[in-house]
Amino acid sequence: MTDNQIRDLFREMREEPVPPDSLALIRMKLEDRIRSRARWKVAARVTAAAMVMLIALLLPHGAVTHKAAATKALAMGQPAKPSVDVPETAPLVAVRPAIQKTRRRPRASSAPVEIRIETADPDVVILLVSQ
Amino acid sequence: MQAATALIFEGTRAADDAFDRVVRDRGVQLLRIAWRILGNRADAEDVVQDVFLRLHRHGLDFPNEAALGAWLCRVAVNRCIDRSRRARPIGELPELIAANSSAEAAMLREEQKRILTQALAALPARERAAIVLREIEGLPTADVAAILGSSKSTVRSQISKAMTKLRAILAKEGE
Repeated sequence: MTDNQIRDLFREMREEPVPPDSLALIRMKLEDRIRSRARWKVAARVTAAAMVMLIALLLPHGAVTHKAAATKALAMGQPAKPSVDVPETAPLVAVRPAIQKTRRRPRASSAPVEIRIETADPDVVILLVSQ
Repeated sequence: MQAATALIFEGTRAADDAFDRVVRDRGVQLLRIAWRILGNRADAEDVVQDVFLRLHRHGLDFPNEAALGAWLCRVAVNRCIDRSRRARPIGELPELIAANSSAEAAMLREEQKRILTQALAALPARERAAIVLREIEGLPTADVAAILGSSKSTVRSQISKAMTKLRAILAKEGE
């Protein structure tokens, strides 16, 4: 067989149509694969979102505020200051000030009080005694 | 979940239409190329599916139709070469639908094509791909070189070597 005869046969091969069912089968399978891929993609996104929400809910409040403060400081180009956790204050309720009852001191009754006043003259001393 | 999926499909309907058009327009040529290189219908169908799936992931942002065609051919041929390197030997011959002509002449012609296809299957994968693209599909040498990722002179040399081998195989068959 010469080169020209071979090339003629090749040209004939080019014109041979492919079976139409083959192409239909490809399109059908392709559509299935694309759809299943899209479903997996949606499922993966939903799962990822759920995981993020779950992590956010499970993290302690302090860790979240500390991280937020650090991120903010980093964005402003300053070193992060450790956040101070302020304890939650109880709601304010109007309370009547407590009346402080002062216990009356018992009067010293028995012991006598003595006041001694010394004068310029060392021999004279004024002595006051209460009963 | 189903509603969300439906919404996504709705949003990409225009892209899907464009993709469908490409599958319709290019599917036949790709199937023919894959079938000729692999010599097996099932494998060729798998390759074409893979090529279109890759196109779906890649998207349709090509500068023009020629670039799209070249990309599709390149992916298909590379997949075929990979497959034919590790695949079973070609057993099933590509029996594409033959045009009806006078019975005896047609039979002779079919016999010649069968022998030629067998001889083609005996070639190395890259030479076979070069012959399929250049001689059967009739693509210009420059396009074949771009698809195979080699130079024009390499393609010419591959085709020349392949033709010599084909002639030798056919001469042996004719004895």
